[in-house]
Amino acid sequence: MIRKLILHQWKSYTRSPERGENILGFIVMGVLFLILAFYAITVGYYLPSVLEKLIPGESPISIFNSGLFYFIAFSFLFRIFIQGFPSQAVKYYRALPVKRKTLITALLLKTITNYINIVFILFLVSFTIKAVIPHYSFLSSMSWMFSIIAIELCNSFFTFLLKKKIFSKPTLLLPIIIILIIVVVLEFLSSASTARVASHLFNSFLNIPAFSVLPLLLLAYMYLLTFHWIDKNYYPEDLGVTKREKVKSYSRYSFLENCGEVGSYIALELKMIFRNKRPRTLFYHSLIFFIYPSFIYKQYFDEAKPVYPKPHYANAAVESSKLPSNADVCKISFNVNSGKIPKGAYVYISGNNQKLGGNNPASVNLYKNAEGNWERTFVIEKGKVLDYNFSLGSQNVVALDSTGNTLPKSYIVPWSDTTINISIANWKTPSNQGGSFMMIVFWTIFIISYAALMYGQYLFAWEGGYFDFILSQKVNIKKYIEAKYYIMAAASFFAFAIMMVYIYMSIDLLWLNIAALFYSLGVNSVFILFLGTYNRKRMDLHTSMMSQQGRDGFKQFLRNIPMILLMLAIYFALTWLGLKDYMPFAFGGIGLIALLFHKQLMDLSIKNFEKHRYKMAVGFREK
Amino acid sequence: MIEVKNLTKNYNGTTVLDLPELHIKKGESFGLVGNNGAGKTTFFSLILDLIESTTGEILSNGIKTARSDHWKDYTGSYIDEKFLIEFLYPEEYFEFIADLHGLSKNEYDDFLNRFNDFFSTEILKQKKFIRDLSKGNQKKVGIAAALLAKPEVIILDEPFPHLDPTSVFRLKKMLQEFKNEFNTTLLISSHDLNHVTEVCERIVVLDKGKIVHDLTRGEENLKLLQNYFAV
Repeated sequence: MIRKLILHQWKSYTRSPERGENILGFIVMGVLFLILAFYAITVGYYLPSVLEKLIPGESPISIFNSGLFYFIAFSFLFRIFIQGFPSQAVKYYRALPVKRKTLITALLLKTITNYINIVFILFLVSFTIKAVIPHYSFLSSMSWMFSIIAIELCNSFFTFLLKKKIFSKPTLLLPIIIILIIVVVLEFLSSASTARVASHLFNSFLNIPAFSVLPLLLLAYMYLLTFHWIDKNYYPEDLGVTKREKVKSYSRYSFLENCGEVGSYIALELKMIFRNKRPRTLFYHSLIFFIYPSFIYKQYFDEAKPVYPKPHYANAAVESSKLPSNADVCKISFNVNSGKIPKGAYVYISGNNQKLGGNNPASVNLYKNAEGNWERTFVIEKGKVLDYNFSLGSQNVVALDSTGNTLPKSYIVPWSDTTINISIANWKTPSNQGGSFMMIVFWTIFIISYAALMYGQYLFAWEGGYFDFILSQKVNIKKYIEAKYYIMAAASFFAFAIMMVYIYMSIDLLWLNIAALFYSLGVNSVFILFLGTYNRKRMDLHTSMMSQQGRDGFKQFLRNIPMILLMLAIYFALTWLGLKDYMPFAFGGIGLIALLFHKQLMDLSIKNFEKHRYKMAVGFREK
Repeated sequence: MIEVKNLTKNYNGTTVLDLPELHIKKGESFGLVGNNGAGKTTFFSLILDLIESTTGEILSNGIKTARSDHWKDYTGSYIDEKFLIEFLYPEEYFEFIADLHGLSKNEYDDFLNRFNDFFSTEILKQKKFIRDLSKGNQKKVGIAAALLAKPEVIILDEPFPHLDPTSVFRLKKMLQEFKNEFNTTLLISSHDLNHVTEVCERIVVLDKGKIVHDLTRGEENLKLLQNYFAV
């Protein structure tokens, strides 16, 4: 029976009257969930090494255990706000001959399998594999892992029981928060550390696996308690799921529509986007766009990462003994203390003599000796000026002396066998080259705002077909524009979440993307809405984007010029101030400042709309 | 209820509407007749603040309608298909409007009951977007939306064409009911004299933007009108 109920649940997702929209929502939710799962696993995997670096000398597990208490407390608060009642899921079966116990079990299974729990379990399993299993016995590791999972699931049931009470009496949240504050204060001011006590408990699961019976028993108890509670409060009104009935009954977006006026405008806009060909194709296009960064970022990081050529291996001493000697030549030996060089790189010599490889920086390499210095001996004709310099086999990498200046060419006139000792303090690798770094910043901002810009630049042109309705109905234009902004913000956040996939290339991309998100939310989205008030041509929702790509593509480009100019202005201002290296911070900061003045900036668009409303209306009436 | 003062509207130098003065009282049913291009739709669009007047103003309940929102609370209107959100189901469209006016579930159900006959079986629960309905059914959706919130003022531009005879009959009956029950002010334009004289007590004839007749309903006046249009 339980299996059938689960099957029905799946069908309710996949077989809905408005399949197109639903599948889209399904895909979006699916992608988001996969991204979330991906992060959970990644964070679990890398957390141990981060913890090791953070507090050196202590094992990651004990650090983890001492912080776990706070995590569970936070998760509890988070769940109170986020976790919902799954009770709606069984409403169809109440009147059918399905055993009450089966229904309640189904409800509880749904509670257990909510996405917060799944993400947490993925995270913990990944962490256990990386940090616990290598150091403890399998039994201990499993005891620890299942204990923690059991505690987290108890949390889930506890929330279930508590949430209804908090829902009817929000003031109940106050004592909970007060208790938490007291715990935190005690933690810092006295020796009564709850976290320490808790961490002893968590450690004991590792040391004495039999202890894990306790949380498992607690989980079983919580399960039965919740079961019993639902059994007692079986009717929808008891579960608090029958809200006051509203007009809404037909729409799939009833959740949004119950969120006030802005919510209903957002719902209307989403319907507009997903039920019409033109905006829908635009949406798909913006999805394809996310492939771009993989090329651009890759190219950038490949460029920044010099390729070190494979050297010729040989033993310096052996080679030196085989060198010919006569009166016309002498032996010149180089002994280079190279400082720290990148992994896999060799020190190369170049100079005006062919034996030194001529001026090709990647032709003749030195050999590493037992002291870690680089050496090689060459036979050179006497009396001719010899110049030489060092590299890592790549023109882009330059040797630096102890003052940080580029090491200049050195000269010697060989007369007798000589050993030249040279010390290189550092190497300059070509990271963050101005031009291409600018491109990376621009591209990142552009990709994060892309969907928002595409949608926002048309402002009410989307509504061109029913603009008269909007003007004559009791529509609050301010809130309508706000609704549009929220959709743009959501699009930017979505883009941001997807872009996070790329941080495996470099952690710098995280800061860059955060900065781009702020800039997109603060500046680009608001700016394009303002420009949108100058739109006078209605958008035909039915034609596909392809059919008018040429003409409209150019116009779209033109509309984005002011945004590009603004970004260029910021870039040149930074260059002029000599702050080019801080570009992500500058863009992020400007975005943040713009967000602080968000209301005022939005008012400019609203004012401009009021000023141009009749002109817009006239334009939209023309086909 | 609605007062017009020195209202003119010019397009490219030609005056398409010139109404020095007009007063429509609360509860009055006001019929606007005239041939194509007489300025009927222009007048309604000006009341609804869809276009800007060249000179003069329109007051609704004593407040200017231009660039203001207050009249939207109590004015329901349907001019043409630009009032329809074509990618919604009719139900969603009605729910959206009910939401804008903050109607309760009861009031909304009451509306659906009232319009049950008018919709016959072709509009609700059809799983058809408004854009997929026939012209006549689209018009029904628009008219029903105009009446949804039981407004004090109803403005309908050419409501009768495209409707089948039964629907025309039911619409006229319903407008009458609104008038009797809620003392609604009706503004209806038409080029069909018979329909408009059936619903409206006051008939105003427009020609090239100017009022040429302002009559009350009656045998004699009906004849006069028929003669006017017969030429």
